[in-house]
Amino acid sequence: MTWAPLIARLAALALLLAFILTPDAFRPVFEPLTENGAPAIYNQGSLFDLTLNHLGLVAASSLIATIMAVVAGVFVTRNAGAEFLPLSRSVAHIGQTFPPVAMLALAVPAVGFGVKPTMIALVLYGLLPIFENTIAGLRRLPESTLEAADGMGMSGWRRLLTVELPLALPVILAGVRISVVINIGTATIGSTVAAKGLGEVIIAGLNSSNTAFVLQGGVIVALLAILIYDALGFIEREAARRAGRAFA
Amino acid sequence: MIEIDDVTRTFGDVVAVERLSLTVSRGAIVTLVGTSGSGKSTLLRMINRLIEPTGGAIRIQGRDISSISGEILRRGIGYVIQGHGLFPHWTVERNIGTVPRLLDWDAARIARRVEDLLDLFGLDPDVYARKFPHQLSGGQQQRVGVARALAAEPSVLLMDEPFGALDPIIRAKAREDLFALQRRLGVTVVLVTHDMEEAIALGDRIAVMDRGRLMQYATPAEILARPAPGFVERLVGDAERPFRLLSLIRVGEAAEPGEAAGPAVSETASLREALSELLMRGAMSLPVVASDGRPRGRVALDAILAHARLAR
Repeated sequence: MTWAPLIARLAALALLLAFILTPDAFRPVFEPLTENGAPAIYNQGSLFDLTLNHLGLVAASSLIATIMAVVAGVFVTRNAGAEFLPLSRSVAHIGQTFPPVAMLALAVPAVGFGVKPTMIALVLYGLLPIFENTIAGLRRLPESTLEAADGMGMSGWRRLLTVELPLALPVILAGVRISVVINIGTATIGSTVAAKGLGEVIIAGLNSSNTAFVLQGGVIVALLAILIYDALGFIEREAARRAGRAFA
Repeated sequence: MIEIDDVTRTFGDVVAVERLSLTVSRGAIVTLVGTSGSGKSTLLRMINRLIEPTGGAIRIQGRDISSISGEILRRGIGYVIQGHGLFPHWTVERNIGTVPRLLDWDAARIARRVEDLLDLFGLDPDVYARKFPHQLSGGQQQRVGVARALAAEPSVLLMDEPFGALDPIIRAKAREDLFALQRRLGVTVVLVTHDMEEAIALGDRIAVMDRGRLMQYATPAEILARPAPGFVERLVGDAERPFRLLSLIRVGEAAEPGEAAGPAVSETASLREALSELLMRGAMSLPVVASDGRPRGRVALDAILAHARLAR
């Protein structure tokens, strides 16, 4: 076992925390990017609060997307729901292909500015990877395991909750991971409709031609994405280990 | 006792099982043998209602199984499938306890039962209880699969190619173990196999199936001595038949008074083994001993040949 990956992760986390808690300490790094004496560090709000808001937005939308996608994925893999598979697939695919910005434009007249339209766009955008992975995870379970569960006299619910979902969990989590990371980036556009988030920093930079602001917003979002992707990957591997290397 | 009464199952236009009747007596092993697509697995799955018959009725201990919910019925019937079907995310202990947990046994009783079964199957509970299926050898996985099926003390055990995933040497041993265990527990076994050798070695009676129909239902000796013309005859195989018949007869049955030279053969060995021994030694007869070592006379080549001739 080598320590290098762990050290790299801790360093990235430390950098992120240092930057959002004490941004002023990084003033010399960003000073060369500003012109005409513009501020080098974002000064229209706390970066820490914006980060928390951003993460809250992603967490809430991912949670809703996960619940919806897993419930739908389970439903269409049951005999009773099989005929809904093509329809629900289409809905999830449209959600993914429809640009989130356009979704915002459509949602704002309906629900107003702020968090609501952003949540709608993020949930729809995050559905597909989780939905597809739920289906894939449930479908690739070994036939003999499912037959054994039936043959032992398990009810359908019991089979789903104690056998199918635990065994499909690593694949479902892989979908959640993709979805979360996509939405960490996508959530920045929420700032265009007045949802608090790290998009504010980037937009403020674009509006005032301040490259330092754009870079700060971008770096925080990127570090969040990398660290969270990594952490979810760890959870996923742990789940796979618990699933007993069923497919090794 | 299992009564299969005029049972039919169709899948669309395909008739998997056609108007089939047979009775399995209590405590017996019945082997269902046939080629793939003969309907033997479908028939087996109708006994625990994993598949519903389209016609006819199945009764266990006189009770029509369609009057019992499928899940409740299956908890009372052991089920072993090819490739064991163990739950990969559960320990051996938890796998074996599956049906007792479904039946809401208390934890202490389940733990006791699991331990007893591990002992019965020659797996040290301290070593194996907490292992996961992927940490076991193929033979061990198969034994855990059978232990799981027997956990709630069912009176009927259904087995679908239970030794199919094992290599030949382990398979022969697993077969012998199952036979000894079944005789000890007295559980009624219905076992599906495509291997006639296996059907003969294990079955008290053999049901030969072809294209959904029962071609012959008889003891192994009858099937070998008087196979039904056509399919059964071909399945039994002409060249192998005398040897298979000899493998069913104990040396004791052909022993006669007299002396012979060389190491003795046990009276519980099969005539097939005795014949092979004679051929290797180039002898005409072998001394026979009882299991306690007392001499039981001899077995002569002529006597073995006479028994093999009955097959014709």
